Amino acid sequence: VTIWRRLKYLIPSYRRREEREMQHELESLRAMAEHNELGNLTLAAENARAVWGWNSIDSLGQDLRYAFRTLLRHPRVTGVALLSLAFGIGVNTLVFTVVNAMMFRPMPYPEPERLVKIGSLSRANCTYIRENIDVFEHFGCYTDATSGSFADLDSADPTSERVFGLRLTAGAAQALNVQPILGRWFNAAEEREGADRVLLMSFSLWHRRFFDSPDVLGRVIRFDGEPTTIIGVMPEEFEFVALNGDFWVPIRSSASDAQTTASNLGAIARLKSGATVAAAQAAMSAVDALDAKGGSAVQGRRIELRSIEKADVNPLADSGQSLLVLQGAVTFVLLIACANVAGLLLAQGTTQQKEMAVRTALGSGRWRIFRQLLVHGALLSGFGGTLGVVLGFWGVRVLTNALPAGLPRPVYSMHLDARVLALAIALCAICALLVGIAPALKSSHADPLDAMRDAGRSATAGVSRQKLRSGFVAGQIALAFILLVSAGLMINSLYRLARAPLGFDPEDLVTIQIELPDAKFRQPSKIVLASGALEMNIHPQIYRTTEDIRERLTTIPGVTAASGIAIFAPLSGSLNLPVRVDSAMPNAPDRAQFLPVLPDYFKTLQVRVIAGREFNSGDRLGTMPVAVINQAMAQRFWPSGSAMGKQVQVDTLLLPNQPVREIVGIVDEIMQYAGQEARPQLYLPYAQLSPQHDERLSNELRHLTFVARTSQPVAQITPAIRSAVAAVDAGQAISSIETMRDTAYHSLQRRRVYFGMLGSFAVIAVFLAVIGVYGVMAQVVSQRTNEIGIRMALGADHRQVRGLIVRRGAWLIGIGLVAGVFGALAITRVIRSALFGVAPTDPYTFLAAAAILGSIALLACYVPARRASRVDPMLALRHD
Amino acid sequence: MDLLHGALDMLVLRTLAGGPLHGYGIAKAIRTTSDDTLNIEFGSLYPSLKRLELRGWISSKWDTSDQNRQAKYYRLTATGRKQLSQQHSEWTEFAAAVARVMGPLPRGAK
Repeated sequence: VTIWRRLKYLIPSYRRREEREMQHELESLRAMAEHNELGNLTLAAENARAVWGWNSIDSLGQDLRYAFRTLLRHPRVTGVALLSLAFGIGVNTLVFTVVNAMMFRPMPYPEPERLVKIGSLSRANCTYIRENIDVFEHFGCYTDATSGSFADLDSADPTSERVFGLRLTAGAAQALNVQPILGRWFNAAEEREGADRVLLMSFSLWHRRFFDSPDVLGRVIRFDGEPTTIIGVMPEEFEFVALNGDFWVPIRSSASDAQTTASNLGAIARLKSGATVAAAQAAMSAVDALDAKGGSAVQGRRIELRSIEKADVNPLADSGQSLLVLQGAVTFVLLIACANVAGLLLAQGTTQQKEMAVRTALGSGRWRIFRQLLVHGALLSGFGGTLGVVLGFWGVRVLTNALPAGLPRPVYSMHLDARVLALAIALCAICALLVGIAPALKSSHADPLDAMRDAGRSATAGVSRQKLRSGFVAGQIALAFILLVSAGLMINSLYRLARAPLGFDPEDLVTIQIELPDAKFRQPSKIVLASGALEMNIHPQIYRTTEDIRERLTTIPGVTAASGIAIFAPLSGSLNLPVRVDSAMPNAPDRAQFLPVLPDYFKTLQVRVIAGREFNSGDRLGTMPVAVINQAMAQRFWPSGSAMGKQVQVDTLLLPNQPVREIVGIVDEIMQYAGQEARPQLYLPYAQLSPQHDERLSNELRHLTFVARTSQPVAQITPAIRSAVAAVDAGQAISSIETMRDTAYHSLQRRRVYFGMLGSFAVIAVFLAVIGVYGVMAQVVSQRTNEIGIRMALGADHRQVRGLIVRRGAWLIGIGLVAGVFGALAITRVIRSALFGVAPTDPYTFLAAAAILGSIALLACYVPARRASRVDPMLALRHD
Repeated sequence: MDLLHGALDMLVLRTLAGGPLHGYGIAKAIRTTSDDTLNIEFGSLYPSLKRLELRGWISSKWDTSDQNRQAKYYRLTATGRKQLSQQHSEWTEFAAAVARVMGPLPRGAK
């Protein structure tokens, strides 16, 4: 009851009513009693208010009003403090929004704790589990991520797009228990061979290709060249375990024996409520036992089963480290901002010292003064934080628009949510403490006598505060230096990356991406490979088709040469496979980039053939198996002597029965990704690949990038390219046509955004630190006005006075820079992996950063120094 | 402080056990009942009333006095009555104990 009533006292109107009532009562009593019999009624009323706890409410209100007035009275100090805090909290909000989107996302399925993931199963295993094991409520299988071409031939944009997705059974969808926002999941009948083909698409594909149109249901598009009906669209946040896909299609069952024994499926299951993971695991051993008895292709295998974890849904990949670096950077910025504000409040405390001393002398408690300063800090942080959140919100929008493709999906839908706001509020509280506590401690400990004397007239006012503030400034410089060096190293790397030789001439080069349809060129064989995967047969027609397209491209007027590469085009990635040389057993598993190319590849890219020859149309199945390697590979495997004529063999389960190839040529290195350095590369004729592959590799091999050398602009030559492809196969869609220059530019986009963020944080840090330097120097000048006056009266000239102030600043900056150098030496190692062509201790970057930061900071000292030298000695001597 | 507050609060509760009174009446009653020994400052008595009211041990209501004047009358609530009986027995035990210890002064003691 008491607490409730006290809470009501927080309402001012309720307090006023109580107060009136009390005054009324006391008045009535005074009338009754004899004169002065009741003593001091004002004191009685005051004591009653104390009982109600109004005093602390009132004094808090006073503190707030006082703090507010102080803020208004010093608009410049307040402005700088708010700006600092807004930047500090703003950048933290921004980075935390990214972190939040990446790491703290709830799993996009209901009751995820009941979901389990089961590794490598065969079709037979799946059927057995579905029919005999009863710990699962729902159970379903899915394939490895697969790509397909997606084209809507009836629409205005008939280009085909290479999309990634999954094949799965209806049971897997039921286990996840996420419903499409439009349409429905497929059913078991649609998994049968011969049924109409159906497809569910992702929100982003829907948005990208159909502009959120609800008419998309029932539309027949071309998926891998086959007419397929769209039956559903999944919600934006949906993703299949560990795989961000754009499509989901049924696994179609066929009668083939091989398909039922290949263990190439994953499974996802929802446990019955009450069933444990351990029970499910035990149930799997029955499947193992059955496999062993039935003589499975993969002997002695154990089926793995485990709960779904966050890691399954949120593959952080390599962004984890860059996020950590960004997080560290914004923490620095916040610290610098807080030091700024604390420094300003300290300075303000010095000028207010007299006032504080008076208040202490008049009996104001130390706690009261302490609290006053904390309230001040809290008010500043509150306003600064609000501005910061606005700034962060704006930053998130800017960043979202600048994001390159290919980042983990959650980043694209990041937004400020309750968790980010909670962090911003927590940061405000921390800032309030950080910026409030130093001045509060200094002020509330001041001896009123000393303070009054000190603030009265002295050349050494507030010496200890000054020291503290100087310490802040040195720290700020150090932190800003570390950030500046890190950003400098990265910008340096980016510059080097952008200028790094690509190994080929990207000018006048057009790339044409094509996805050869699955149904036409691939056919499952009846063999299960040792890897457990199914063997795929590539239809030999594929070699004919690719060669035809290439030849058609060369006949386009203005095209001087044309070729192509499968799997990864230059600057878009590489697939590394184990190789064996000279028929020797590999001593260490050595890998090389696996690069199947069409004839004239090096001629088209204008890559120097150092020795031997490049591939021609004579290199095909049935002729001598040949290979071309790059110089890095030649030096790695044949350091002494020539590699020409030596033997090399790709040795992987993905590509069984590979012939031993003779090396017929050596070429310069071509960058498969930005920043590649001396990687062994193995080229082989696309037309010489055996038609039998692991299904996963064959899926990649039907992705081809043709390259054409032409000086014509891409827009002008596009129609000719389209008709060249159509002449070979009218139904063949094209995924993209762009210049190699664009590809090169896009390949750095991710780093550009990352470095851009770090760079802006460094700029903000330098800006804030310089404000800190300026602030402390201005304070030095105003506090030493007296002394300066004396010096000038005694004959010191302007230059000497300026020198006095600048020297003092330079000393501070120097200490900060030295500390910064040590800090940077320790910290830049963290970003080593993000650097290219520059050491984390690169002396030039360190020197440049020191020169930039040092000169800007010195400039900030010079302004107050100039003011000091203009002081009129007579006025200065009277200054108090 | 606590003992002082406690004792004063107890005196107020005990005084109100005889019936509702206004603030001035309570002060007068304590003075007369104690034969002018306890002359409590109104400045202390009044906050005590507010404290007891806040705790819900007494309640107040405007009423007309014998001299036909408006005054705020305080009365014991049920919880206040319970509190009084508990404090009463504690106090009598305490007072008796102190009295036993103090006793009459031995001869020769100054």
